[in-house]
Amino acid sequence: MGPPRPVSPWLTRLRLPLVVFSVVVLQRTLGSEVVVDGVHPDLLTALFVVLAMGRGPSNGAAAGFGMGLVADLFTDTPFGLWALTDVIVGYLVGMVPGEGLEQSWWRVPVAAGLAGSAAVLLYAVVGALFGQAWMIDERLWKVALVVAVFNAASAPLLWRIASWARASEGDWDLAGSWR
Amino acid sequence: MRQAQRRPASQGPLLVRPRSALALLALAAVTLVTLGFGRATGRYVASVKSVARDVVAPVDAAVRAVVRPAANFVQGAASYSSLRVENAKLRAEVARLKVTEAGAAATRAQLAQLSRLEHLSFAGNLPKIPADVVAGTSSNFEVTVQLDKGGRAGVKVGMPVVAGGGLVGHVVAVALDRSTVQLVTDPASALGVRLGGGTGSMGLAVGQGASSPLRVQYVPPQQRVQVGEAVVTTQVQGGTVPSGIPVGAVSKVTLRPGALQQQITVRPYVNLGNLAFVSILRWVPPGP
Repeated sequence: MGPPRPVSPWLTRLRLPLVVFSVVVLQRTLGSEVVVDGVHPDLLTALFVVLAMGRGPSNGAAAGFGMGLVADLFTDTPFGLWALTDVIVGYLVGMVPGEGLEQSWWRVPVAAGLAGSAAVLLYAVVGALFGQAWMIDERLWKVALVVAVFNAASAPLLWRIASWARASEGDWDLAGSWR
Repeated sequence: MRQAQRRPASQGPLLVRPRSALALLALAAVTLVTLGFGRATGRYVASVKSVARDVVAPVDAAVRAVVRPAANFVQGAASYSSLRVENAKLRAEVARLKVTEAGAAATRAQLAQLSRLEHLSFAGNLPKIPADVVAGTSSNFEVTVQLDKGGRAGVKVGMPVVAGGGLVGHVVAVALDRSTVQLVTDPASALGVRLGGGTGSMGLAVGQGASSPLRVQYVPPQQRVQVGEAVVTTQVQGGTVPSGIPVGAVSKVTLRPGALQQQITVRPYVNLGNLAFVSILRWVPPGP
């Protein structure tokens, strides 16, 4: 019995794509069945928010762009709208200092909830700017609120999954000392 | 070397500077949105989406096979008594409709004949592709359903979808074995309709969300509209559906003093919240 064999770096790099793929499938299956007052959870937004949190604005924006593109592939609203929205939200979420996030149990859920509702509201505004005026209607506040609650509830678990998925520190670190 | 002296190595390339990263990525996203709106480039975007959905489809179907029965069980257990009452009501409704159907067949034949004379596409004549609804939407910004038929079965973007004789919506995205249907209640949906069972004023029926009725716009105040009258599709220029498909019945008419149009709401004939089987009509909107 020697020391445990180290996991291949290629396998560790597959963690993030695997998590993203699983969340896409969960969103399309479980997400379409779970409805609260006509509103579905938005697991992709929740995942990108926890991936971006405390990683610096550049990494946050990059995570937002990537996850936004994934979301765009599976929705029939104009392609790129989620990418544009999540770039901006990711930039802001990335500014949240990473050091204090795990010190209190409520910080990650609250930040994820606020970011989730901000993403919903911004998505509707960006959509309206690109000619989709119907996106801003009276149910928008309800959608933002319910998505915020879903995000906050799923954030602690997703935070752990995201920590596992980020194979090694700096693997996708664009920002370096600019955090 | 000179460049390295101007900028510390820790700052790295352009993308690592936060504001540059934000600007570049936002610009890339805006470019993608713009490309998606283009006629030719939009086709490439649709192809990429189609490939992504084909990749996910098998896993999606396997997971759904596990999730769906569990969700149905929870939902069914919660509403068992109301389902029994609803079932009895539906049996009575079926018996009544069988009688109505006999009379409607003659009317449909007449309408089809008239439509042929006017060179309009009539839904009753069109070949159909039967399909199962495999999923609802998981997005909060669209009211769509996924069907189990796609490009392999001959489904194309733009084809209308009906269920039980009433309009459901039209196909907006096609993958190999899946297609996405935008329901008439989707806020982005707008279709030409005619009131009075197809003989009255024309208007534009716009969706207002999954659980809300349709709103019919542009019906002038002098036009007489009654609650309960049938609303059918009409093929307007650039329209997404052929003529003669029943949409729903007028549920409310309001006319405010001085208004230029009536406020009309229409309750769809098809129960769009509980779709299981539909037919895709082999009809594609004529090009511009």
